[in-house]
Amino acid sequence: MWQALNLELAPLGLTVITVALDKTLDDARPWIEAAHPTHPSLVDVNYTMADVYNMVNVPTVLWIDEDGRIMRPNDVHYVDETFSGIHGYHAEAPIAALRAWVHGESSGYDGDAVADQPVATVEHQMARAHFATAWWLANHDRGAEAEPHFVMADELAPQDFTIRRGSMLMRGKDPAGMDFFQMVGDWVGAGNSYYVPQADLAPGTSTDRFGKFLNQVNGGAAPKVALRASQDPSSSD
Amino acid sequence: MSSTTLARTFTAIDGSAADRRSSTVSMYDLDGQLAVSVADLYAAFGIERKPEGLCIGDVCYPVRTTIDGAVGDTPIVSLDGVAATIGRPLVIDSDAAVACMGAGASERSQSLKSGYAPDFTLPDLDGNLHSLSDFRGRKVVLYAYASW
Repeated sequence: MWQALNLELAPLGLTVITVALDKTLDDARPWIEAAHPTHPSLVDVNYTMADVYNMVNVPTVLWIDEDGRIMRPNDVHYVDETFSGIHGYHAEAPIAALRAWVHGESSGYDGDAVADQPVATVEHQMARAHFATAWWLANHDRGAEAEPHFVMADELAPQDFTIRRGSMLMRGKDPAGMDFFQMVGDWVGAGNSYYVPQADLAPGTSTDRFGKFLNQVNGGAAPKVALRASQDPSSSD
Repeated sequence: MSSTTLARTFTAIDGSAADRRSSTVSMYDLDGQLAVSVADLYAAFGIERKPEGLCIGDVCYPVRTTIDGAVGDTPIVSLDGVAATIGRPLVIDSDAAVACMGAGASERSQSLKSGYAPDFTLPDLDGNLHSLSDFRGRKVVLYAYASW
């Protein structure tokens, strides 16, 4: 769908840049090749985008204007309906808002983009340093030495799922199976949000519906494929 | 300040760099703190020890505590002292012989609070590099996702 939006809106001055946070190019390859993108489709094997933009989950979207200013701060958008029943997000509002912004009919965000852009704490940056340490060790076949640093990163930034979910493959856990459901179930069950959307396009969505879904799957079979595909930038394109 | 040679090499990871580059540094003991040579500090982390302080590019941070020593003719600096001075997180794992200094919360916050999107350079599947700044003059949707 991003490809379709890029084709539609590129003549009006928009470029879509997708960035896959994956541990190797080959992990991202099938997803990107399936989308046949004509826009830049990049791979970030160190998750540095999460660090630089203080992202705590995927997907995260930002809108940036012609001068490089952030017009829409970190937000949660899905641009198709394939798995909206799972995560509770719908495509209509973000696509309409994107078109309006590109057509010059809106500023892109109903709020103060600078004030609403989340910034990292000292603890979170320490978590990211532990994550970088763990990542380096794991990438050098030193998984046992990496593990305590993954644990520290989790403890220091429990709200950061680019770390907690994004390290599961490295740690022999299943990021789309019961390890994931357990983690998110505990997090949401304690009253926290799994996604942190901006309020103007997603009022009342996010945690409630996703938590309900998790309660259902925690009591039954987990739709593993569905959750994986929910991260796909190009699904049902 | 007394300094001794630990005769140990560590892997230094620049956790503030997009490529998480790593290098080998000699680690010294400086009054019980782990220290590296001034030359290694710059080579590994891009941080310069100058008379005016610790500098990253054009930005310098005044040093308010003693962080310096020497082993023979080699000037060394305490890594803890450096991290505290510039506000960067430091992870030292002596068992694994790894030291990682990441980006500081204030550095990252100042960047985002400027209102401008931080630039980055990343490869596509063919290894071609693309930077956000390549697209100045166009609107950009930046969309981060993952296969996991």
